[in-house]
Amino acid sequence: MKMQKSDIINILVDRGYSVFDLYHNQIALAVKKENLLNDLIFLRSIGFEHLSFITAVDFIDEGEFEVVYHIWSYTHKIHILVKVRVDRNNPVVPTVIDLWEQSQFYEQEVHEFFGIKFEGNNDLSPLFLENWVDIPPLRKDFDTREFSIRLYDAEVDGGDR
Amino acid sequence: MMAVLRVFLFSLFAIFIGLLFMGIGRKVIARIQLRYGPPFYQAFLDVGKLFSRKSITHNFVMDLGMVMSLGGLLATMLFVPIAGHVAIKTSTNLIVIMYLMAIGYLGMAMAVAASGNPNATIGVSRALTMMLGYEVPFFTVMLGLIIVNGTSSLELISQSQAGSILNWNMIRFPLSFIAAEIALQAMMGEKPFDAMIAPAEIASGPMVELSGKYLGLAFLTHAVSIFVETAIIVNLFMGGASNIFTFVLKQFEIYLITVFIEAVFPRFRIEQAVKFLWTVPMGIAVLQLILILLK
Amino acid sequence: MQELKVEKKRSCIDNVIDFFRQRSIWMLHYCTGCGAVELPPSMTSRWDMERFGIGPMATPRQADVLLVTGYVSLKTLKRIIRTYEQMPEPKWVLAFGSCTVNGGIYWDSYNTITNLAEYIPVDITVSGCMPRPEAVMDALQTLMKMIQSGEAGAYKKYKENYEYYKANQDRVLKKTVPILGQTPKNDLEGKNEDAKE
Repeated sequence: MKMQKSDIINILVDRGYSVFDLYHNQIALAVKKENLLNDLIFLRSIGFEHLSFITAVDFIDEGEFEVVYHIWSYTHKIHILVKVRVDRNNPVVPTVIDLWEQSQFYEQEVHEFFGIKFEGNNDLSPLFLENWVDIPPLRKDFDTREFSIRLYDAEVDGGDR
Repeated sequence: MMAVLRVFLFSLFAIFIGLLFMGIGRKVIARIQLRYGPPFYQAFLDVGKLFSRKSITHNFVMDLGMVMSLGGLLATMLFVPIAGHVAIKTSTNLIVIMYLMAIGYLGMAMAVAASGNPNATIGVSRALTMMLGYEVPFFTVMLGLIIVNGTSSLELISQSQAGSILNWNMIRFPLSFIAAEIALQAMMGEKPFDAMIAPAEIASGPMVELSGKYLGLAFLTHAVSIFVETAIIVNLFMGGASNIFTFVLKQFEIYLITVFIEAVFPRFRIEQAVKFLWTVPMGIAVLQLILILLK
Repeated sequence: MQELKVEKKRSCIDNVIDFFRQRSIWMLHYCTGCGAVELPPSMTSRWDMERFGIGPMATPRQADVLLVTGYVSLKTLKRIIRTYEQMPEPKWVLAFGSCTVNGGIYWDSYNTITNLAEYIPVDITVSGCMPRPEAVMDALQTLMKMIQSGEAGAYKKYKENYEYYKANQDRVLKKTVPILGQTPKNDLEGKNEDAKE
């Protein structure tokens, strides 16, 4: 049974979440790490049953990572972003692999590129990078231009080739 | 001495005509697809380039298998009458010809099994299954013609159609001709029955590990097989010919029908192809056989 | 690296063999990157490539030309080297697009190489992002002329300078020391402290 976006925002605010209204079919939600699985199960029970993507943002000035879960509902046609903040020095997040099986690949990718550990997921082997010995490359303190200049002899503005 | 010279000349003629047909076939397909297409002598250039490359071989069995396939097909060609001339002047028995044609496939299977690539093994199993498919209607057609003429010698069958064009087996037994045309499409390995080659699926099947000179031998084998199979159909249904020029022209007509069908059809799966070949052409051939027996 | 010396005198047999080789080039139907979208227009009715005798073949054992179209990541580079070494001689390499010359628009990425000529020897480079089918045909015509005159001998360079190419390939593919000097354990104590000068 289809609910409007304002009804969903009212339900979530009544339960005590902080909700942001982004777009005509997009809502953002900020949750705490300890309650993450219960929140996702609650969202699944009111009709948000499709996990589209899991990604992360590096807030290097505040010293935190933010893991974002994109969840979509077929009945309400609303897109929810669930954001969780973790500490940058020891990033550990519980895994959602028992709720949605496709999150196995998303969590592998986030672990490979950001270094975030998902406890409960026992196969976090790399997918894309072979023989990688540096820090995870999508962090903000990894200078990718300097890396390319050192390893591949890249030249700014193409050089004289 | 004269026999050796005759064999050599016939082989050269078969290879030359086969490569010419392949080149003209490519040009016809290109024109159907509204492009210009390669020059008509393109197959000669391809074979010349292939023989000048370095080739990589795995073991002795691969060398032997490729030579055996070309040799088997050339041996088949020696027994087929071309406008009345035969390279080896013994009987031109049809059963012997069909039996010898299997040596070509078996030689290629041997060479390919020695290369050790799983794509090649899949391709060879498909080729042998396809052979199982097309032999059944083709032998039924041949049985009908042998019963009518009372002999299984190709030369006598082609001579019994002398006279006017209404004497040709193509006009007297049209159902056999249709069944034989469909079986011919599978014999030559052209679409819609080319699951054997299938370049996008199994990386060109049996020829996946052949490079350089071996691929050149595979091309020559294909050229000679075109020549032999169209010659058999011309002798069976269009009455042979009195001179070589008319014979080659009739072969070309049969080959053009094959090319036209190939240019517009996609590909059957192997089990669909065998099921089709065992029902539709077989049914037409059996119908013709019943009509012959009732007369 | 030594330059290839072009022989001045070419015998009649060489001329005939090169005539055969230039009129029937077979390319490997392996589309590396985004530049491969320019190949179907060159093969179909409008800019017909088959009238020069050029056609696609399915396996590296049967192909003459390896077309490296577009960007080359590290995973692709390993497979391209293996494919190149599987082709029998004589073989040629055509590098398409600006990404193989100086990195193109991905020059500062951690995963794509910037100069293909350091890893496998390249005969002709076509720049552009993407090169139009007319540029593709022009490159193939130039390749045909180079084959006839004997200049397209880059595959010999690979055998003579094998240590140079292998050193470059190992430097990129088999990394053992962190390039920027930050190991994953070092970084967890805050900002990096060493070796980023």
